Amino acid sequence: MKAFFSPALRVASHSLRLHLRDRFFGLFLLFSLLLIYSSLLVGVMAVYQERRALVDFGLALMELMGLAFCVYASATAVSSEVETKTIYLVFSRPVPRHSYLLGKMLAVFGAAAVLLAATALMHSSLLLLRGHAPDGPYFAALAYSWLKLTIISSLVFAVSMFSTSSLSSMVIGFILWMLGHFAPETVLMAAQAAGEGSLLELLARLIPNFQLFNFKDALDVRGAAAPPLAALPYAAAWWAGSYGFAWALLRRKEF
Amino acid sequence: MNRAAAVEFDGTGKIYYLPRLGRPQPLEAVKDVSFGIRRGEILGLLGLNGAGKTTLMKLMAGLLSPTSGSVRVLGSDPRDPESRRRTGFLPELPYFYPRYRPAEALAYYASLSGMDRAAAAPAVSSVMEKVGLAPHAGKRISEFSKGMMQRLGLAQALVHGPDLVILDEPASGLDPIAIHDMRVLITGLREEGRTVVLSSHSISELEKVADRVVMLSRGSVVSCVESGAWRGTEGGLEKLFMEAVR
Repeated sequence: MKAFFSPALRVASHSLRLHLRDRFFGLFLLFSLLLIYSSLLVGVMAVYQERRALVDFGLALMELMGLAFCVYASATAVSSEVETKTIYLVFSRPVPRHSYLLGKMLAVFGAAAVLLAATALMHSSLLLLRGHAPDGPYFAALAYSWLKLTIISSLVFAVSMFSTSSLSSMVIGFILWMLGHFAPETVLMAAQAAGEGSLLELLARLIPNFQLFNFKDALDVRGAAAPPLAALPYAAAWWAGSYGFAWALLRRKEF
Repeated sequence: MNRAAAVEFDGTGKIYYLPRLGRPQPLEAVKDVSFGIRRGEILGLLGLNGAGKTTLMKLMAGLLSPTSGSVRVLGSDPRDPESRRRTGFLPELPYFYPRYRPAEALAYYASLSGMDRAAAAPAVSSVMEKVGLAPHAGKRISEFSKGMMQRLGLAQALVHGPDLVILDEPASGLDPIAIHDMRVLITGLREEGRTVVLSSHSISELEKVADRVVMLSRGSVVSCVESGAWRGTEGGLEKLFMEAVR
């Protein structure tokens, strides 16, 4: 176990530092903060619904900027090391490929958490300033956003192992993100179009259901305040599946 | 397995499959290569572009698997973690994260080689001193010249004290003084008892440092000469190489 986790944690801590020092991370963070600050205008326009507008708009912005960062970071995490040949310096050492992959994925998860935490700090401060203290469900909604981001990151990692360029991995990532918000509808349409148990329906089922994680939609709905705990093992299954698929491809690659 | 051999190629072949529409196109980079590298020697790999030098080095570093035959490094499979712990590899034109300082990069690579922090810190200082990077310790890698990058590349290959050092074109792009320093460093490695394998396009460089040179052409070994052979021949290694590859 030590031989598996020790190199993974070393790769993760190094890669996390690189993400946090990356110009793009800084730009995503700065842009998120600007957008969140400008969301004050939306709150003003909403008049009696100011809290709801500020919370909804802020959480959505944080998630979108997190998505942009995660898709970019996951798509380029391995390919940039292949292009610069730094991967030679890693794989010529006693670093198993499965540990390397795990380390890279954990680093993106960690960077996404830092990005969400930094933007949430600013957002919470604005909410407090306007007299709307953020509550437990607000932070639960943030945690579920992070889970969504980790799932899409794992999927983009898996895609980047067979994709011909980082750009195509990113495009596929965004498409999966959009489809994932209509997963049940997509499965239903596939079953209606090609019949139940068809290949199309099976493929539609290979899209993660991101609706499960949209706890932020339920924040202002009476009686729907309990976070969906079933989403946790569901997220874990997607991490494991994507990681396994990515590893199966990476272990065969020659550089 | 010869106990005195640091590396042994036995009928080794490597075929790359280039992606093509329909069916991948095979490219035979190395064909039926057999030779050994003695412990403590400096062995040069000499060949034209595409002769298979880098492929042989990647096979030794465990980055590639042979398609046929076998490779043994320090008595085991090159992909074995123990063998990797005892091997240092410098790829051609190495790249490092530009925002790092050299000691940070070296500490990371030392940790990946299995060194703990307590052991890595003195090893990093010592190797920086050895390759002449100590005066530049405060700079970011983005400020480094090509020669300094090459020195850093050599430092990462040596930081964990490997028994076998594989250097792919270590003098590539260096100025004459840096080439001289690199040569002194490489001969110093032999004096420390390490085995060094290096590839070069520069015949004169190999002539000066190598104990033995393996000449490659189109993926096959065409000749293997000891230093005594070129030192006692008019025209030196260049003449021997031309005779071998023509």
